Amino acid sequence: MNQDTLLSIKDLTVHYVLHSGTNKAINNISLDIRRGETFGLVGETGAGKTTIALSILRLLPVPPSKVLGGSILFGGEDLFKISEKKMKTIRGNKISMIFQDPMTALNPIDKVGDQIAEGIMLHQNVDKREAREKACEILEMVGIPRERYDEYPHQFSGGMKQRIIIAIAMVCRPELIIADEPTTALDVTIQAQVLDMINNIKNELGTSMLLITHDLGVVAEMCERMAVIYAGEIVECGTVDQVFDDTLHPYTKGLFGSLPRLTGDKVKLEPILGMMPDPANLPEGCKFADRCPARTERCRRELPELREMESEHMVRCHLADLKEPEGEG
Amino acid sequence: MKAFVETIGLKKYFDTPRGTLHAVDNVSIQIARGETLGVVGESGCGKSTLGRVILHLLDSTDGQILYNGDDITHAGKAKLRDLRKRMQIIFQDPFASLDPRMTVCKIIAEPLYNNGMRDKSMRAARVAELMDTVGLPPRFSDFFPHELDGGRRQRIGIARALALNPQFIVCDEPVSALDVSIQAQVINLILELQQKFDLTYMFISHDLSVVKYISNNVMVMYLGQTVEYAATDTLFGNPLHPYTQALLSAVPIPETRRKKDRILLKGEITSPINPEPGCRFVQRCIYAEDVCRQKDPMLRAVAPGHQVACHRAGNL
Amino acid sequence: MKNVMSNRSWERAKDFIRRLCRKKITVVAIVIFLIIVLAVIFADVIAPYGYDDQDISKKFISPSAEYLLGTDNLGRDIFSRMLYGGRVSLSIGIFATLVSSAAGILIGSVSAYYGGRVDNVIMRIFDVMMSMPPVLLAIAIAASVGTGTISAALAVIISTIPMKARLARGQVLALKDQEYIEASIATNATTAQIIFRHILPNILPVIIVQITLTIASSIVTVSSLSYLGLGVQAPNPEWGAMLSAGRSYLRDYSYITLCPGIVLLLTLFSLNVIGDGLRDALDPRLND
Repeated sequence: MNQDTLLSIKDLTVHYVLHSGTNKAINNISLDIRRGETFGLVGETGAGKTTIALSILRLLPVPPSKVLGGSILFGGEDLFKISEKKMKTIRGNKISMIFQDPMTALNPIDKVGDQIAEGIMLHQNVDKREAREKACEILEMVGIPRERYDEYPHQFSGGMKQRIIIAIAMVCRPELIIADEPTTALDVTIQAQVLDMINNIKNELGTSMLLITHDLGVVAEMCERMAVIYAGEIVECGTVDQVFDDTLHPYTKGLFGSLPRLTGDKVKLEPILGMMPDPANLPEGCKFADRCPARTERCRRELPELREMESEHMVRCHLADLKEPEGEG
Repeated sequence: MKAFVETIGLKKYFDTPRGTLHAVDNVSIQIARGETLGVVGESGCGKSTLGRVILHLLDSTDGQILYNGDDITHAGKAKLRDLRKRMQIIFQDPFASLDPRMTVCKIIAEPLYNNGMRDKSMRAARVAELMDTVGLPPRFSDFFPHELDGGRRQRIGIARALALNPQFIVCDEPVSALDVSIQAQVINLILELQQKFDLTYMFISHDLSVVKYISNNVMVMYLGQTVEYAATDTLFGNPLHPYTQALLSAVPIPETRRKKDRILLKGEITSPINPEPGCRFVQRCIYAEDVCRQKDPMLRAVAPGHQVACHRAGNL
Repeated sequence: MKNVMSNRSWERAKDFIRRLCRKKITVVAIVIFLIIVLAVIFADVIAPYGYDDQDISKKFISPSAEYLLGTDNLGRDIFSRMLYGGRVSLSIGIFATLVSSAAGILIGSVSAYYGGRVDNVIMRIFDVMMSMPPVLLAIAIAASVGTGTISAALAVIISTIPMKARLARGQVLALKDQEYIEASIATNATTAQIIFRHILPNILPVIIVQITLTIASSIVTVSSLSYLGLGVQAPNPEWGAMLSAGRSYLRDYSYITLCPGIVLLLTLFSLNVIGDGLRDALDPRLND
């Protein structure tokens, strides 16, 4: 394990056992997040991204979820094996989470400053005055004047509420932040402000981030490495440059082909036909085979392994082939 | 160009306890037959309200609405019934726009029933035809909306909108709630249908890339007003209004190695309640000058086919 | 196509029943309620004696083989009186609730849909009605119409309409700005079509639950009225009246009051639990 690695997920498998069938949410997921980096997790609805996030923080609803295997190593320990008491010292403190909907993530009857200070008092041995001071500091860091400490959530706009949530997440200076679609609900110009602010804070505090999103533009802007998840499996991962410029997996290619472009010539949209398979009814073999324009018999029968094609760049596809680099012998 | 759908100085104001909300303030559009007008803007800009006022789902406060040259602003009940068959709407939220207690075929059949098609087998045939047109397999006919995913639900909404053979459809953020790969399918479907049935669209969205892909002309709105209006390529190639520029630069581009030359706006999007005189963008604009605070900028043509509402347009 | 359709409906019905029976207590409640209802319906067959058969020589007999639940102060078999009494209590409770629900839903829906002054006036009238406790209302009605079963039913109906209307109105207000209503308007649906096709089916789940609870409280109201001497008159058996009659003998012959009391309790309990279960089971979007 790399010295640089902060969090390491290995072979994680989580299913939801429901009356109507077993939802195989994620299967054999492995990924590493390094210190100080932003790791992008890209996928569509139902691919399993939120399940991964909740697994890290052990916030999965039990029942119906069942962890069928795998480990999550953080600070030398497997987060699945430590006690709930120990886990509580990690949640909100060493690893914290930002959820998607700022409208419902704040308590409407508590002052915003107090909601931030609550986190400090929970995890650190400081008195109320000091906690308040720290909360004010972080408020300013996220771009909200400290005078607004005593105001209530309804007095803030959507973008500002999201900043407050980020403040709550950052106040204990966590090592890792999990951000689940943090700007999806925001207007575009506000999103730009918030993303910019997140980047600044991250750089200042040296925090790592697991950024979950469906927006490839956000990934390009914020992340150094990324993974693409489809039907509960990672189908491609690598540095952002690799995945964007040398896209290997047909699904990833399909995603790029589905995006109308703001810049450059108008290119006809080539949507991926069909839909993601029902997680309660996953096919044998490659999960993308039904929709893949290049599928073969082997693809349907045999589940491809995640193979490393070049340093760091891995893909789960029988047919993937790295292009010959141009101009090199 | 004879406009097929046109508004002249359209206004829609709401009375709220805090004052008068200028949701749509003096908006004039012209859409030619078979073309698409993209309407972009962020929360509170009034784009959804504009669409609904044109369709008479909301009453206008002032101004005119013309349909095929005909002034329909104060259309009476009978005329409205007739107009409704020709102007339809596709909604954003595939959850909220379908009655959760009705099956797919009942939802699509409703417009037919409401407009006199009382023969059950005729309705069934037309529903089957519509489902085929939008790519919904017939076996979904007696499913409930919640049993289907977002993309299919949106197709139901499209089928319903097509039921009466409309000429003009207001698409209110029809793909915003969908996953990327499904979005592309639905966008292509919407374009196909336009070709097939010679439809005229008003395409409302906050997603600039989608608007660029699908529109002939684009109007940018901010707090109820038009700030820029031009042909798609012109607007995206040469945005003149500071808000348009900021909007375009704010969109995250899915490409690596791009220079981060982003214009970051300060402040929040306010709401158009009891607006002061002067430009409504003045608080967030980096080019603001005194005249901007005092006088309302008029929408004027700075080049043929390119209108901007900014005192300093062209001189930034 | 026909076959497929009935299959799906069958699937949904089975699903509904499964959801309803998910909690054991709901199943217990359903069974109890069914037993009570069936016993009451088949009172003629089950009851060993008539409800009015007096045998003074046999008064105050404790529960025994001959008189399952004992006899009261006039030598009447309590078990038989309970069975026949159930007919009165349940039928008034159910009938009155259904009538008031239908009226309340219609008025509430129309009021909410049209809004404005119409809504205001109707709601203020209901406010006035709701400020009167049912019992006072019943006394007023008894004074004008006379006592008896009809007057009891009327009292229940009038006192429960406002709540139903309120509930329906609240539901409709929440619904009427939904986009699918807008979509219907955009396709030329008339107001009546919208109310009957969209609004009523969507508010029904909540209303149905309220109905079961109202049946329970109506039975209590009817019983209270009889207890006070209004409503159902002697010798008509009715659970509340039986409770009242047993009042004087509470210390020595408590079973005269306990038996109808317990059955009343079981009926109300089961109705409440069924109401809860229905609420959980009726939402088509609720999954595990």
